[in-house]
Amino acid sequence: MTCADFRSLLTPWVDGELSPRETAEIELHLNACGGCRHTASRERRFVDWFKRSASREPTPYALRTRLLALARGKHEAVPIPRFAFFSSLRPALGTVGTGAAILASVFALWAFNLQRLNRVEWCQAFIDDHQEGLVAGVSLQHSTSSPKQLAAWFTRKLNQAIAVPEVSDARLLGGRQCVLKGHRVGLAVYEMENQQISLFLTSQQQLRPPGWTLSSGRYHTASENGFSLAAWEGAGILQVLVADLPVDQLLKVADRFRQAPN
Amino acid sequence: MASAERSRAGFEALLEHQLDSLYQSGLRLTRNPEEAEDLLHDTVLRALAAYDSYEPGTNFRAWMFTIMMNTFISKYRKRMREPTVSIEQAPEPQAEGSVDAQVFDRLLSDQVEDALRAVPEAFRTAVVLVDLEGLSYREAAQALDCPPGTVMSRLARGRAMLKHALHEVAIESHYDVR
Repeated sequence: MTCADFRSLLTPWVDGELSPRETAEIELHLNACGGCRHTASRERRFVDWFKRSASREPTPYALRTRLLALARGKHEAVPIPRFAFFSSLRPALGTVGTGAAILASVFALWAFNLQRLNRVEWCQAFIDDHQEGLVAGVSLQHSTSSPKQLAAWFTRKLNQAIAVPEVSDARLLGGRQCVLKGHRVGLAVYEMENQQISLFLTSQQQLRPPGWTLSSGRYHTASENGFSLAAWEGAGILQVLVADLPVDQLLKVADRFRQAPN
Repeated sequence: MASAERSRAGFEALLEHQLDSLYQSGLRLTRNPEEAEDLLHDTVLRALAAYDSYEPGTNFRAWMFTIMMNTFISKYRKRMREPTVSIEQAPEPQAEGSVDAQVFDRLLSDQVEDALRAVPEAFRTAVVLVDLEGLSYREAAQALDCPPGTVMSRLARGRAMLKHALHEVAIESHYDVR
């Protein structure tokens, strides 16, 4: 082994990542070569010193509490009353069968009383529903990869004529109906690049938040906690896309959904 | 299902032990406490959603770091804000009398963190995962979705930069680098 060979193996040697044979060869070389021995010792001591000297600080208490609550399946405490429904709902989902659980969740959502539907709460309702789908794994009511089939299911279930877009690199997983502000909304769930994307669809006029004009070709966007929302209107259907993406990336995805055939 | 409740309780218990490591690493990656909080929040959500895919008894720590690195790379890398002002840039306190006598006493760990913050992200990530969080090359490679050889070369570069930046500091803290 030459000194150049040794230098190229210095890093993994310090970390004990070499095979026993390579390690033995290095030991042999170091026994014979004072220069490399010196280099090895210096490197090892620096790395040890660095590891010792970096700070070790605990997580801030409030954050720790919030994250562990999240891990237990509870949302962060926010002043909006409906979160109480979500967190008390979760144990029910755990102990009841799937069908009943979905009925229970639909009923609970129906029981929400969002008196004032300002824009923030409107966005929050969609984002929460998307987030619930991620965390609770609420199962789809209708699993299909065919947009036409899902559209037909929406027509039966919601009594709304809603077209479901077909997007080339987004796989449709299926859908369910949601109740937002007392109105039934279709949800189509797609998977794109290992991420779950929710597309809410409704022809209900009452679900538009007051003061928002969704002129064609324009998006309204919002983001919260890393989730983003983009809303637009196409052919009288309100479409709201929610995903775990920054807004600029979500808009690119939204473009594809808007222009997709259905 | 009842089993979902049981397994979620297991997740919280496992997470509790890794939380400090994850948070501190998140801070070193994003270099911004607010971004670090968001990153942790998203990481926990994703881990919870993917918990079915975790095999009980296997390395939970490495599994969590994989999820965090995944989340970081897909979401945060592009939108990282400017690093917070390091202590070095903070104005020195004005004192009456002689100017010579100013000794700006800084914690060793702060200087180490400053040096780390200045290392470019690819190299810094390798140093955080291997040196500070003790992941093996294979575990770090999995977390970063790159070959172990890449981990090794990034680690070597990161260490070289740190050595260069912390040379004086190391000597002062009674570690002889000569």
